[in-house]
Amino acid sequence: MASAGSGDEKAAAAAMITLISSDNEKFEVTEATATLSQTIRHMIEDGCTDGGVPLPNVTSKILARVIEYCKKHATAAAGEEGSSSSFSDAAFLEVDRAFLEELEEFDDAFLEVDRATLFDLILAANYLDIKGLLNLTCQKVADSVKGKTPEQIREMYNIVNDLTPEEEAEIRRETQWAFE
Amino acid sequence: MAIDSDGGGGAKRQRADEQADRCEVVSADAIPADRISALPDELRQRILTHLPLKDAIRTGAVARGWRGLWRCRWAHRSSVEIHLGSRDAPRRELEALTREPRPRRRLDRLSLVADTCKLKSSELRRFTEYAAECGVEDLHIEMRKRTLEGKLNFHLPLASPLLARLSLRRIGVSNMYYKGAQPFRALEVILLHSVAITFRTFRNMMSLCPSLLTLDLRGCNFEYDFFWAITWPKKLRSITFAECDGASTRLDLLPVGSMRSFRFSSSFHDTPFFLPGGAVLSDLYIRFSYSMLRVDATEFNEALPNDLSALTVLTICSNALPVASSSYDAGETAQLPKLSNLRSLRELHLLMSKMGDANLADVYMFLKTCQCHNLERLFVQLPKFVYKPMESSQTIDVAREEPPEDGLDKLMMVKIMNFNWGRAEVQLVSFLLRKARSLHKLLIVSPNVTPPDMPSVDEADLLFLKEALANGKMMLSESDDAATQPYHSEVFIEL
Repeated sequence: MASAGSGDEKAAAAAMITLISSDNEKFEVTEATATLSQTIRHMIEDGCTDGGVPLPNVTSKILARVIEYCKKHATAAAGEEGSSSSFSDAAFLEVDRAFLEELEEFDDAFLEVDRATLFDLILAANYLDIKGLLNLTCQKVADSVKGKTPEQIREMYNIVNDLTPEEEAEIRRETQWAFE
Repeated sequence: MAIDSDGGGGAKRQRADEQADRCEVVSADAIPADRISALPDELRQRILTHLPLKDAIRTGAVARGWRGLWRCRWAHRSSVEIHLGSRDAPRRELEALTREPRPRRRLDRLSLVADTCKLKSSELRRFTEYAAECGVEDLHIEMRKRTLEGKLNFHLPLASPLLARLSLRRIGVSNMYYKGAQPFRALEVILLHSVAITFRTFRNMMSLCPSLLTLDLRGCNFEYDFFWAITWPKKLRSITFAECDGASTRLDLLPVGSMRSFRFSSSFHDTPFFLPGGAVLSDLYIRFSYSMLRVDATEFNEALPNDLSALTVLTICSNALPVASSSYDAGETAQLPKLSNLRSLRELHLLMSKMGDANLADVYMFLKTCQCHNLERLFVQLPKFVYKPMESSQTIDVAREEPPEDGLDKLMMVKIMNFNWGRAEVQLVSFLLRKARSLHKLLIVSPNVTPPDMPSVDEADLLFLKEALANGKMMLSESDDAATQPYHSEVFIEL
């Protein structure tokens, strides 16, 4: 697989895609990186990526982060494909494990962002249809809500409570066990 | 989408970053935006699929836009009710379920209700296996008819590892111990209603549920020393023990120091309870099946935790009121009742099985004793039926208790159910109208919206009511409104 690997790199280097953020900044990425986004993959398949792919919903700041994620995970995907066809002896499993751990560490560090950025990333991941990034970011929000009371959730996310006390009491009564 | 915030078209990345950072600082100073609620439903539902059911449900109470969103968090139907009403229903339903594709859909809730006694153990097992495959979090299994004891048993070890709430009715529970049985770490709520369970099984169940928060036992019969020597889950917060009148057990809960909520609706004489002295209760429900003639105040007070000053919600029945406000013997000196320092109490709910002069005296006495100066909401559940012979109580000359002078300054809301215009009932309402200075809503649910001719009712009292009706402070209606319900409303059976 080693020689095939370098061949892939060459092929990937040949196919570069230009992504254009809402503030008109251009980002050059490999096709392997770009196609983690299903939205862009479809554009490439339809052959409408000449002159760059405009992404009017994503700012350069967020797009840079998204690309950072895709680069890392595109290498991971390539790595997985490589190892799956290899000998599955202990050494390879060890390499796999180390790689997965590294990826997890990357994801954890990647999520160290303020809330506004996190929501921007969710919206971008949804728009660009990047399953892994969408799951990762949604999981992060979910984790922050886990074990919290409605009051704590409101406070954390600046949610204004527009329920009347009666409505709120009714909601709690409907499934009281969840509020105890 | 609100991503485009810095708008520095064509600027160098570094400058854009600086601008974006500045924007964040500015927006942090202004009213912070509610970004999460601004997400489209579809994305919020996706976030909810990453949460356990309980946490997902909780988000439903943060604001109007979140109400019920959790119910449709999965794209498929995630709450399934199976009703087995005929002989071949189990087979038919099981066939339909096994045809579903694998991996199974995720289920929030599965309810299996069987009318038929023909449900075989092997079929029940296949239903629970299916529920486990779906990662069910809320499982309800109910037999409408009582099966022969021991014939049909629920096997907890087959349940889903995600199971958070288990509710069983009229079904046995198999002894759960087997070598290598894994604990149910997600299981927080267990409801057993008319369930036949042996001491050994119950003990194993408790040791296999280390995260249990709520235990609800209703209509179950337990042996005398059933609760003795149980290793209780460390976080157990809420215990309900109801309708267990046939039981003759000692509800020994002394080791449950983590208890925050206790609800008891049985005969205290047959099943006395013992709560840990150091427990910090936030809500307490006491309903005795019989009047406390045979129970003295000492016994009752000793059963309660020492300090009830953190209690915020109390529901108490007329049978328990007299002992709740009488002093008791502790060693040589008489002690104030433990329900005498309720300074955190916000809601009081009185369950009156009778409402004569003596009962009104008990209510007054209790209000004077309990020191609940922060009371905001009062619910009074009056008996459904009028006790006509009450007229004679005038001649018996009940010791009249003077109403309390103060202590209701923060009372804002009163709701009285089954109001029948009896003398003591009218007196109570008139007292509340006079003494609760902050009162702005007095709801009365009565079968008679106009006062019937009641010769025994005091004219002066009635006048207060009529005046309050006229100025809108008091509202009278025939039907209950769902919006204003007591905290302990779902819990119990009709009086």
